[in-house]
Amino acid sequence: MVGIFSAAPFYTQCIRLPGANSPIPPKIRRNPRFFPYFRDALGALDGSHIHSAPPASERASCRNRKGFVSQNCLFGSDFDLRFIYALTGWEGSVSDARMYENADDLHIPAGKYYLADAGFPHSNHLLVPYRGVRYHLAEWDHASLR
Amino acid sequence: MLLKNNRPKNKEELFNLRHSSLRNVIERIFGVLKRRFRILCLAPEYNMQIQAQIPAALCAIHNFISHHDPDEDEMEDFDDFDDGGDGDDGGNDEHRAYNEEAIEPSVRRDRIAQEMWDDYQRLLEARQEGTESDDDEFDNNMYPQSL
Repeated sequence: MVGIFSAAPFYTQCIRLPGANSPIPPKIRRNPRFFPYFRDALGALDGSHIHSAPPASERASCRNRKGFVSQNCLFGSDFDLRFIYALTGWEGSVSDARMYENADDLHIPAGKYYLADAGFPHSNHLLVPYRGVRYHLAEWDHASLR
Repeated sequence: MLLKNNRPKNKEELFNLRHSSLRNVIERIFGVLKRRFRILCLAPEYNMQIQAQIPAALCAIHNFISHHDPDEDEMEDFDDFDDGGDGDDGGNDEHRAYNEEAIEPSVRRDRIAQEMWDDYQRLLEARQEGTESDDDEFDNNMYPQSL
């Protein structure tokens, strides 16, 4: 049953990677904080741990950094809360970067990239944050509201 | 209340702030998926091949629902920007492309961050002069290369 939804034709109709000519996402285009800077971003990528129940022999390699037994999955989403990519079934101990390296069917057109966190390699196809930078910041203080 | 020293002080901080606010769509979609399909919070004892198919299938079903019943996502689909930006759609495609030539990833990032920072400084100055309501001038200042 689950196979019907995780394979063609249903899956391939619902989950599609954006191509080189996809329009600039409205979420970027309409916000001067993001446009034009991120105009070539197609979406965001991240790993997510999903609880799993492997056979005892595989349990050790499925235990992740957070201490629970999981499969690690690599997901991509666009800026409208839709999935555009899913790579599932990796052992919980596998890093996001390694899943990305093995994501052979994740085609990213030249000149485009995905946003990812610092656990991913900085490459032509991924835009990651600077390391060692302060966070919990805000662009505007609201002194007048105080 | 936010304090003044919470403001980004350099291009790296500003870049990371905006990068993270845009990147968080992926955290939000995980939240929606895991709330919608509680099976993802359990560890079902199917064989591993089926366990691997479950998240993929649910992603596809999530998209299917979004496509056919967009209101379902409403509870999550809010915009959380409080930057006081005018939200104006620039509406033109004439900005220079960042990728006319292949560039090093770190050069590309620095370029984006620098441009963002320069515009941000300009905007801060304009606000201090009390001209923040002048959107036309703000836009022109933001994107001089497009003129």
